[in-house]
Amino acid sequence: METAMQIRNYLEAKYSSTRKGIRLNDNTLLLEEKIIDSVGVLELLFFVEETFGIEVPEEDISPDHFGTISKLALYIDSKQKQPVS
Amino acid sequence: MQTKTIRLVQDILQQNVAEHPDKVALICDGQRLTYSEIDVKANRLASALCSNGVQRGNRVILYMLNSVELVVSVFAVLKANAVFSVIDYATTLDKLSFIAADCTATALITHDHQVELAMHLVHQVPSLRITILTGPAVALQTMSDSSIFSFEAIQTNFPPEPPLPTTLDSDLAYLLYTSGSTGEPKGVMTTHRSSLFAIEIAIEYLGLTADDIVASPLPLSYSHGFNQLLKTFRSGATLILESSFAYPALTLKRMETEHATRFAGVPTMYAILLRLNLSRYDLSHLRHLSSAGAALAPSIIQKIREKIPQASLYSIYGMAEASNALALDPTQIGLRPASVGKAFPGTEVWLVDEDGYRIGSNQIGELVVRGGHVRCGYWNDPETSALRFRPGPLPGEIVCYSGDMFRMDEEGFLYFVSRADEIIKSGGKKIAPKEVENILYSLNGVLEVAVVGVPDPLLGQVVKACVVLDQRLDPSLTAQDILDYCHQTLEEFMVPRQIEIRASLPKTPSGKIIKTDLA
Repeated sequence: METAMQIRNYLEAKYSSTRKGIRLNDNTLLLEEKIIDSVGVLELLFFVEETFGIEVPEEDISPDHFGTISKLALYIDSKQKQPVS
Repeated sequence: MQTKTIRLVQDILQQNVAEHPDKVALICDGQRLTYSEIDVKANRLASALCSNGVQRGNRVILYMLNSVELVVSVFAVLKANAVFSVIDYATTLDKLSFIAADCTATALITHDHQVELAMHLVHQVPSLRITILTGPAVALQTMSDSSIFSFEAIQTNFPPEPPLPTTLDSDLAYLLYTSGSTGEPKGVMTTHRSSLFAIEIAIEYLGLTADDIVASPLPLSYSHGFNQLLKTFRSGATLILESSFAYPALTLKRMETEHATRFAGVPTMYAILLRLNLSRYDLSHLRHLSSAGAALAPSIIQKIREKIPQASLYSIYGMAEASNALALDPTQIGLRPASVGKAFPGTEVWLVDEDGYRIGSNQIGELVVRGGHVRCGYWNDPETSALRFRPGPLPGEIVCYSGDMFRMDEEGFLYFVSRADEIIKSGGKKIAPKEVENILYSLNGVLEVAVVGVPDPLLGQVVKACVVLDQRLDPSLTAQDILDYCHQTLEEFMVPRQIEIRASLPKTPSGKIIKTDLA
């Protein structure tokens, strides 16, 4: 899945070296398993908006969409399929 | 009914159980727990700790995100007559090992997905005999280690009555580990008496009542965060405890649904809040906001007052060593937004010069704090304790030399100038420049380093490292290499956001680096 890979690459480049011993896969709980913190979520949001050209409404910044790589990839793909209003 | 005297921190819980057992005390993780439910859970866990060898005064590490289990554990450890230490969830294994060894912890309570970390810790710290993991009990059935227990199973296997209390009010309630100028965390020793005094003065000053609903995303490992729990429970109010501030829109939605009357944050959280469209949330019940951890920028203060005009904003200055030291009254915040106010009523502060003499207005000096909220020293560190906690005016009294430099205006309002030991405050976290410098110095090819904090609109401050290279040792070393090395060795919030390669560092005639020229 292209989107998931891009997110994973971003997180690995930014965090994996400081998160030794933690296996980052598409279902890793990003917050609970200490991959990212509150500020990290915000930085991930900036990355998503810039890389995928979508606007994320603030109510969508939730564990349902940002909790894991796979959830976020699904969310981005669904947003990209929506017609631009 | 005769009211029991509140001598110990855990008495707060018991008083609420006596007065309103079915009142919702905690809203967290999608759960609503009454005072009675928390009390029973804490009693069962306390029984389990005692049954497995935790004794009076033993230290128990709580390494968890804000959660129901963390709140229960805090009271359970106290009911077991032991001492807890809530450790920041971002803490690395190395630092956690240091802390557990430093306080010779007997037990560790953490989340089940930290099982590998827990196992590492048990091997590294011989005093650790008991590990309790939250999460589904089923997962633990496959583990044969008899020193590992399930938080969930304890809730069915142990009695709901508390162990016999043997703690005195002059005993320690908790150790709050904080970064220091040396870089090694120091455990601030807090007695029951001091902890209760600090929250009593805050409740009185801030006017908390049983009708309040307090929202806090601050970690309980942080002094101001932990105080939210105790203040709320001491008032018989309700706490909305957020596991983090990662999803601020959800926090706001919960505050709307639950009719939150108070919100406690740090400047970074307010900066994030102001990015949101606050008009989309009904925050009409919100009456009080508080900010601590670092000075709120006047521009942020102005925007908060514009966007949340119905709420009074309290700017609070405190530290692990003397919680709730200063507060700026909301009536003053428009007049002097750069100030952090005056001492809390019932306490006293003054400024001293380098020789320890009291100074007057418009001079810069170190803040000294006097009152029952002053803690009693650093665990296992008499040398540093003697610097920070010194004899007060009365025999046997201790006052706190804060290590923070302030200026006082003619009306007695105080203005933070800098940390005497130059600690960097980034996103509510403290970073000792020395710790980052020590790491950079360990990199081959680095000749000289100075780490300073530079202003950042989101985090308050971020780390900047000024580096002089030794081309002979490693002619190919680049700023990117240094950054990569930092990512490998430092916690993320400590990693420099700016690396400046310099030919030399500015120095005094005696050879001391002039850091003010580098920020």
